[in-house]
Amino acid sequence: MFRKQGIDGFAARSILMKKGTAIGWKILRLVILVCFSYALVYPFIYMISSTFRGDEDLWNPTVVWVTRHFTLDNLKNAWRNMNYTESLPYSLEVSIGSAILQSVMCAFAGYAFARFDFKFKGVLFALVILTIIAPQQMYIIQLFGIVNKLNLIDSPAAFWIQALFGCGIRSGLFIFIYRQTFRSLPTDLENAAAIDGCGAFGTYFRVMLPNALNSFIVVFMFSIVWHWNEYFSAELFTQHKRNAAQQLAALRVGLEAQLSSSSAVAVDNPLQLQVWIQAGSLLMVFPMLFVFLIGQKYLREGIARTGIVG
Amino acid sequence: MNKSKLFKMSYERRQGLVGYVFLIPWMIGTLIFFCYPFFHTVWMSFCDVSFDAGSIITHFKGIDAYTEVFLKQQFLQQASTHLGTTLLHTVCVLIISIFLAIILNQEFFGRSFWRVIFSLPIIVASGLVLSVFQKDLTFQASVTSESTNIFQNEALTEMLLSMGIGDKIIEVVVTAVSSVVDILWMSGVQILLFITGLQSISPSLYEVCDVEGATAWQRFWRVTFPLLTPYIFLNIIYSIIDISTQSTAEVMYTMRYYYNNTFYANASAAATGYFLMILVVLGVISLALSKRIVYIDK
Repeated sequence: MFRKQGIDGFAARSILMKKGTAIGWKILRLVILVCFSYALVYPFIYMISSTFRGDEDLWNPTVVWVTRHFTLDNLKNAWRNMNYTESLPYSLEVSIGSAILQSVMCAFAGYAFARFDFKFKGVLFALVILTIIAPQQMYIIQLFGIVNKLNLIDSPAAFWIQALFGCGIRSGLFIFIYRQTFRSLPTDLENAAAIDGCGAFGTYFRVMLPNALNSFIVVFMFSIVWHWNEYFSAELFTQHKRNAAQQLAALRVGLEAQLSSSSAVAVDNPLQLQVWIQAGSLLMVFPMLFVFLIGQKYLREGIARTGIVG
Repeated sequence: MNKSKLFKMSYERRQGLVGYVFLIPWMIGTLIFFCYPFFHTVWMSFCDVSFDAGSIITHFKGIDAYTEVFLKQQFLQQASTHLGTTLLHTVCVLIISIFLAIILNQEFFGRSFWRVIFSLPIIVASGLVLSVFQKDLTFQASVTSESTNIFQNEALTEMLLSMGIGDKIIEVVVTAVSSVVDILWMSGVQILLFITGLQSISPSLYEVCDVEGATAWQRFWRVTFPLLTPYIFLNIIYSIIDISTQSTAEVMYTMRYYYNNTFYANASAAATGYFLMILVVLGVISLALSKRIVYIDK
């Protein structure tokens, strides 16, 4: 076959060898991915398996993964106990709003640190690092005082206002991500824009930001998931409202009360409790899986980068 | 008139001013939402702290809290032990996450699916679901163990036992596997950041490699690695911070203990001292690495 195409035997053999290693690599890659992911996926499979498990199968040792009595009752019960009809929109409101504000505002600061020279730059950047190191637990009491003074308790704006000023959950990390991204872009881009008569802000919005799109998406995804999971500060910033994470934390207490008050279910049945909590966790994790599934599809090779080098 | 003054400024100074303009929102926010609360906490470490009608009363006392926490108790030893572990884990996390990021950056069927799977630690590890996975239904972070213990060791042990392998070897294998799993659970953020970094490398450079006949090994060390260094630096710093402030670590537990028992001065002293230690480590590392990071045009 190769001879017909005018390739001599040696080349044909080397092509075949290349094909062989390519297939070998494909198999090896799959093996590596499966092995590594096993440890990550195992608890998820367990979670899904428990969620749809009927009462009859709870004590049945022959049922390992796939239940014989498929049911949505556990899910419904967790939904009701977590008051998900209210806590889901509230959580989404907080996390999407904060994620948009945070990913936009941190980019400004990141750009400043990446491209401009000004006094106290080193000190200010050390401050950025300090904001990542110091956990909120350390200074939460005083932070609560400020939020209380601004009258933002129970409002999603408690998180939004911090995001708006480039603060809030792990902002320092986001600024750092943007700084590294902008620094790794070639300065030729800005010089070209400047020669074409773009001002500093025009350059930033039209040239630099589109090239940092990948980092923008990644920061957005991080921000949304960390706000979604935020329990500690949400507990302080709310009085009557509860986000999904708080509801999940309260789930055990609520379920225990339900178990002891209903005579139909055996009192203090640890397996039943566990199944319901697994169902609650599934509710908690599912929206974020969706965010990551969509978000990472937009990670693309930089456009200008391919144009400029070469 | 003002405008003409602006134009008389040197180019550098004008650029510096533009830099401040970009930075202003962050500076305002940080002053209000970080600097005041944080440095007030630091101030508390030098004081006698008491609460009266909901407000915090502080009386300056000196460095008593520091001498107590760092000299009389085991805090210093706990802190330095954990920093040592942190450095070790950071190296492991970096190696594993670069490796997986390179694989996940290749084109193959089902890539999105695999990427989401390796993002699972980001979704789970920052929230309460992690404690559900650890079968800890009370939602309290485990106190002494450093390990996430998600992996079911029993199954592996049984399998190896049935194969007739000696106890000592089994112990080594099981420990190795569970530490790889722990590392994997710490690497979610790093993998995603490395994928972003890999995406920013121009494909034309790899075309050149193909034309010049470079091997995969050369491609990695001559192209991928140098252009990835900004992201490696980012991930080193992030990993150190993330691992050193893990809530399951003994140091963090001690700090929580001080807070929960209203030893506010001690708690603030411990926190301030520990963060200073982390800052010093980070400073040394960034000084050592700053010359080695490759930015395309500097």
